[in-house]
Amino acid sequence: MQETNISAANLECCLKCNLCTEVCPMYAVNPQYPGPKQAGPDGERYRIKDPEFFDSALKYCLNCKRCEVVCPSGVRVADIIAVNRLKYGKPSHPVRDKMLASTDFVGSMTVPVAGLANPMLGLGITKSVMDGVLGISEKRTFPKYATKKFVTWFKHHAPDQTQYSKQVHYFHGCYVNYNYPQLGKDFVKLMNAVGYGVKLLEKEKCCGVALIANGFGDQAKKQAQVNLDSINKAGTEVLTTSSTCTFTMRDEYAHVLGLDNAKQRDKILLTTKWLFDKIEAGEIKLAFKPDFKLKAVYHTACHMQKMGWQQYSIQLLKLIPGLDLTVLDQHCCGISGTFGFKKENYEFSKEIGAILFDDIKAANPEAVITDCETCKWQIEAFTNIQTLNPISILAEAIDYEKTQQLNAN
Amino acid sequence: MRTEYDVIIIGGGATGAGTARDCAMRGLKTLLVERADIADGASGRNHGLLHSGARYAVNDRESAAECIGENLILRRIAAACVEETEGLFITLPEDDLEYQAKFVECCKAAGIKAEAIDPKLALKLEPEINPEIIGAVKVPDASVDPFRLVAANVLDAKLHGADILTGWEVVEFIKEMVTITGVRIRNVKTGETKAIRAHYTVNAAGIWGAHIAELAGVHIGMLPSKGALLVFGHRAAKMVINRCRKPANADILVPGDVVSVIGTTSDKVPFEECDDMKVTRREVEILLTEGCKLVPSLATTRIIRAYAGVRPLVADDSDPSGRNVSRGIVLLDHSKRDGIRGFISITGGKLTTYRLMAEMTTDLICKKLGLEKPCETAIKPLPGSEPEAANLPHKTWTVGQKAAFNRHGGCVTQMDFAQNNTEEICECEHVTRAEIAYAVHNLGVKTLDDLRRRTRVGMGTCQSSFCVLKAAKVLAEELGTPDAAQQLVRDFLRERWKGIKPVCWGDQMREAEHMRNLYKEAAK
Amino acid sequence: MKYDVIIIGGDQRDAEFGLQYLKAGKTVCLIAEGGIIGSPQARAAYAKAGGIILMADKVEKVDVNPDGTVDSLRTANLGATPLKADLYILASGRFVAGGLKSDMTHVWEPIFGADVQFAEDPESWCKEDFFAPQPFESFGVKTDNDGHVLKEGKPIANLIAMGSIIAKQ
Repeated sequence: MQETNISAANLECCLKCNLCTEVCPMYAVNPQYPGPKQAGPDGERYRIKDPEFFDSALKYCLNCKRCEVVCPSGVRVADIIAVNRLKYGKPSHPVRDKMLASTDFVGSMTVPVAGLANPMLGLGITKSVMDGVLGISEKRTFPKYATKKFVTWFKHHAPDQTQYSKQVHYFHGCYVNYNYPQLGKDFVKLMNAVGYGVKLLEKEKCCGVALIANGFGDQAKKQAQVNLDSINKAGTEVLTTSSTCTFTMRDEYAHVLGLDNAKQRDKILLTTKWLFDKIEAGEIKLAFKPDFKLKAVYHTACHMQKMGWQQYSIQLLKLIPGLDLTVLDQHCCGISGTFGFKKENYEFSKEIGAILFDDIKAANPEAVITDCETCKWQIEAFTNIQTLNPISILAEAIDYEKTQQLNAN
Repeated sequence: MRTEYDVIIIGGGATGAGTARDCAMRGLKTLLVERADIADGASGRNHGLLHSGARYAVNDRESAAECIGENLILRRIAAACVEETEGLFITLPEDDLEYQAKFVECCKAAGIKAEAIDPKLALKLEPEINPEIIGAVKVPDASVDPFRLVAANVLDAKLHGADILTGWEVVEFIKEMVTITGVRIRNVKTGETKAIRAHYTVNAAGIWGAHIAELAGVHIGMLPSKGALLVFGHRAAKMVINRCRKPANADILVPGDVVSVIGTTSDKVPFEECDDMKVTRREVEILLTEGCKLVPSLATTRIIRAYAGVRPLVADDSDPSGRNVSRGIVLLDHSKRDGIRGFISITGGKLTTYRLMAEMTTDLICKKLGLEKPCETAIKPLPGSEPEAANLPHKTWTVGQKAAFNRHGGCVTQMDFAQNNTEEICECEHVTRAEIAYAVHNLGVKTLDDLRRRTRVGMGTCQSSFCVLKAAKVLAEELGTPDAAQQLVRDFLRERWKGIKPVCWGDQMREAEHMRNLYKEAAK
Repeated sequence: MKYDVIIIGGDQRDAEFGLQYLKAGKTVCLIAEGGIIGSPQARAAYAKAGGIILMADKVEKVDVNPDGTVDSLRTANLGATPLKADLYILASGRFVAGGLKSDMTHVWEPIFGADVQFAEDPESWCKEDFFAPQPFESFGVKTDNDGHVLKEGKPIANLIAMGSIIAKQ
């Protein structure tokens, strides 16, 4: 009895050491935010007594999970905050928050009219409407919507995937589907090069990270269940190219939404982890172009650090002979998905990311590499340096034919 | 301060404070003398349970009826100190379900609304209880914060003109023939003594009342009974959970503010141990094992502390062997009983019946003084518990303000939540500088331990390892003795350690080591 | 993932110690249950010299060779990926850092199940006075004269203990 305390989210293991408060990017810039210890375990004891103690300042939590990473006691600080926000929080701006949260709905509405939507979303007048009416910062540039969705391309243009004896499933996510299909194409190219055919899930919904962040827990749960059911049906591992989608499905589904994903969790893998393990086991080999040259920095996204998987991406990138790679100190970029798009958060978002932007500018790279798409928006917006996923770099750097030959058997 | 009073009350527990309030409200010149701090003895070392009386219904109908009467009164007059959690008496498979039927019947006879409910419904009301239960009875138990209850009584006594002396002990009675006309008191810190005179002296010193009686030249047979309790880091259940069986070890779990308290044990101890109660590992084990039967999740909830109090059991005067214990309230008019005039002892009873005990005592004094003034303590709310307090705009407040409102009710309006006062000093318990300043200037705080009893400073999961320096600095500043901060820290850490030591394993072992790493050098 | 040295520990001294190995040309991986406690400069210097830090990770499984030496470690975050090294250093601290665990009656080392020295009678783990040296502060894993961790009385040849996790006499 009483060997360990295993109450929800390890609430009671908190020693009040405040390491979490020290690394909280929001606490550092926003005096309104009480910090993770206060918002998390300290506040929780009072909220258990009476939900009246819910503090609306919890909305400032970026859910970057840096608090959890440094906690020497295993307290799931940010989970405590996230769960409470879903339970007691109210969206400050329901229409805007719903719009920002429903990434796949907004995406599917705008892609067919992307030619129109893109200039509109970029137009000064629209932006000021967004700023004034919707509370979306007019200083923000919306990620461009693609003219053709990834899934459409995949159906019609992807080379025949059934010719490969080995198969993987791909969870592309909203970003690849609506904004940046090129990453999906790069993924397919890389998989085919190493002898794997790609299948999509029977049904894929947005992972729900934005819904969770904006307080739409019920919707997030519905979508999560669709994904879990599809992943369950998939006979292979399900690979992703977004650290945040991966993290959400592996950890947030269980810890924040309270869903049982025990069967699916180990199947959901970031492509770089999957690839690294296969290479280490000698099952996959890569051959690189002799003339590939790039000077780049690697930025560890917060959720990547939370999963502890940055080494997979870094070690894979280090295999590329022509890549001059510097790994940056981990700092939050400040966007936190939809958070940075909100008018009231723009300045915080910019201030939080300042250390990272300075580090990047000082390194003066040709490209920034990161596993997270929202980091990409933020870094590109504030440094003007193109920011790419490791999968795109690998797809570009490999010698396709040679790699295919190496993995032919 | 005057040197002549109508009444001197010895003992700053609930009974003494309640009596001081009642006497002062009836216009008597009143002095309360306490050797340590208010609620430092048994009043502050119990479950914090506002009994419905159900617990006593089977064996002691009179106490049960007193409890339910007072329970209903305190919900009204001490609203800020009471939380209407309601309670359950649950029957486990190993218990006799027939006891439940008898229990319900006895409750009804004592006027307690006890309602046997379907165990399934009980699990719905309180999902944390043992799912194996075979019976459940809903009763009007509640949770009461004994520190705040005593502090509110003291505050109101002061507002009605009473003087309060803490840190003074009674060393001698002043007697003229067979009449006690006053006491000689000594400052426990400085050793200074003074003589105070009064028409009546009330012994409300709990278990220490036996010693006070000896000083006055009378004998009260008392049997100190130790009760150990455990504090869990947060609320494991939202209702009071009792075991429906003959009273035994660890069969009550009370949600005390933000924590949970399980207790108690019951062991006779010698008088010498009463001043320094230590909880043993064996007691902790009993409490935990039994507690988990009530609420299984206690097995995985962090224990932050153990403590023990002493019940002042009074030997029945009619039993020459001294082995039989009086039930209920014991009011001794020593002029009748021992031929010593001007001296009254009030003892026995429960925390729940403190007000009634005070009323009985004050009635007796008034009768002797020929004063016809009715008791009003059952009608007039305590400070902070005024019904208007509910209308304060607390929904818009910061967490620190809400916590202060939770603790002090309407008195929160007397706190100055100006910009530089909103900083949380104790973060576990959301105690702000504003609340500390209020406590120091209105509630008679001298040490961090006093401050803890008024505000919950240092009562959270870290047991002050994070806040002790800040709290000491603020307290020393508010007291106007900034140099005293270091001593405040040392004293408080020693005091906190007493409660941590018996539960030092698992996460509390980590906390203990953390605390040592931070402060072990502070002794120098 | 293969390194010359794996250090299980998360404080500044572990990072400094790792840096010494890095300077001697070794590859080093630090597994910390939380972040790196203490000076950020020490952590930065270690990382800059090429040291790997696995933060917020936990060794969940130890694969043992037939001769009792450590073959590889599996962690919570890396799952199936084995971590191998020539030398493993156990520097996981005492109770605060989680190097030692305790319940009401026992103290143990959770990763390797190493031999632990502690007082049989829990009543004697603490002294009455907070400011007196506490007996529990001398609890820790047993080692041989070369610092090798003992398990069932035998030293593990590629596992040494460092820092406060070592039992004090």
